[in-house]
Amino acid sequence: MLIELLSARYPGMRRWLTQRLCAVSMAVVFLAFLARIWWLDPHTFSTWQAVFSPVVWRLLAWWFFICMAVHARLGVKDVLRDYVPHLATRDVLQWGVEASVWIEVAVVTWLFSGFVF
Amino acid sequence: MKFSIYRFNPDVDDKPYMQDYELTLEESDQMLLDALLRIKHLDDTLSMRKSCREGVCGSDAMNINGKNGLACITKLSDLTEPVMLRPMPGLPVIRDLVVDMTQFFDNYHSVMPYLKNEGPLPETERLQSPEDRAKLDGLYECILCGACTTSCPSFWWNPDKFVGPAGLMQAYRFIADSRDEAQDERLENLEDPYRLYRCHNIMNCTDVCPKKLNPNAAIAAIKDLKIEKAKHEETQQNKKKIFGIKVL
Repeated sequence: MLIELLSARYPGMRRWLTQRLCAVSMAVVFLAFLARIWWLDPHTFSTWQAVFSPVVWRLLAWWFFICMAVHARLGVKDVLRDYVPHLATRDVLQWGVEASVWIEVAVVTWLFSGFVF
Repeated sequence: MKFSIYRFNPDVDDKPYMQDYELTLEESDQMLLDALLRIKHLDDTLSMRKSCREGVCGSDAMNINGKNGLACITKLSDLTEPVMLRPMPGLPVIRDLVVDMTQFFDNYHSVMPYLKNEGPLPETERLQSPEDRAKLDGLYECILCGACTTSCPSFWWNPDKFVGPAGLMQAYRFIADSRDEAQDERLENLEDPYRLYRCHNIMNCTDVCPKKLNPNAAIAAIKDLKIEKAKHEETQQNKKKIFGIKVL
């Protein structure tokens, strides 16, 4: 059902709903992360490493950054539409936003896939 | 009391400028409109709109010390000097404090601000329960002064695409009306990335409304209704499918 609400059949609602869903996801993960920090009380590199060592926490952290990328992508595109009237400049900037988002997704996926930690 | 007022006469001036006035107020001068009328008496080239002088007609909406409001219900004692008066932002200036509100009213008319009911005419009137009537409180009181819409950056940048808070609140006023039969049509009318969803809830509209209404809440209510409608539509669509295959 939710996926259907985000389909092209609802061109206005899907962007707004996607951004809100991302915001709610980030808020929930952030609160869970704060609770975990409070619970583990990390002070050293190894204890901080332990915060992210379980797969579920890596996935949650990964999901947080993906949501942030999607949320920012939609918001920045709106800002560009409003404040950059010159079409060619706007297109270049929007491509820049798209590239930044995909780079962020790639880096975050690489970071949390286990190569680093 | 010192005033600095935006002046622009397109027949004479190349560009707008701010003109300073200093006024000795009398005891009867309580509201900004009183002072403006006194200034106009001294300088009859100053153009402005006004009518009811009691916050009902919305004619004298203007930007007062950086915030939109009605001159007739703004107390002089609440204002810091010099009082900066400008026309409402985001609309073309006709002259001085008078703006062209054509776009504002085009957007208002685009939401079909009238009752749509194809049913047979009743003998006397279309009745509502007190509960249904109460749903219109906080909506019907809008005087269409334009203070909210011209405070909204989304309207400044997309005046021909984004309906604006006043128009959207009037859209919800009819969506919420139990006598109206065009709820689906009204919701569908707002389904594009601009008309409704350009609102980012910064709440300038609610902050400036001289009638203390809350267009932001009305916009949020429309968004909620649109989700409900979409969910209902998708449920109906799914009922026509067996194992994901459309059968009807």
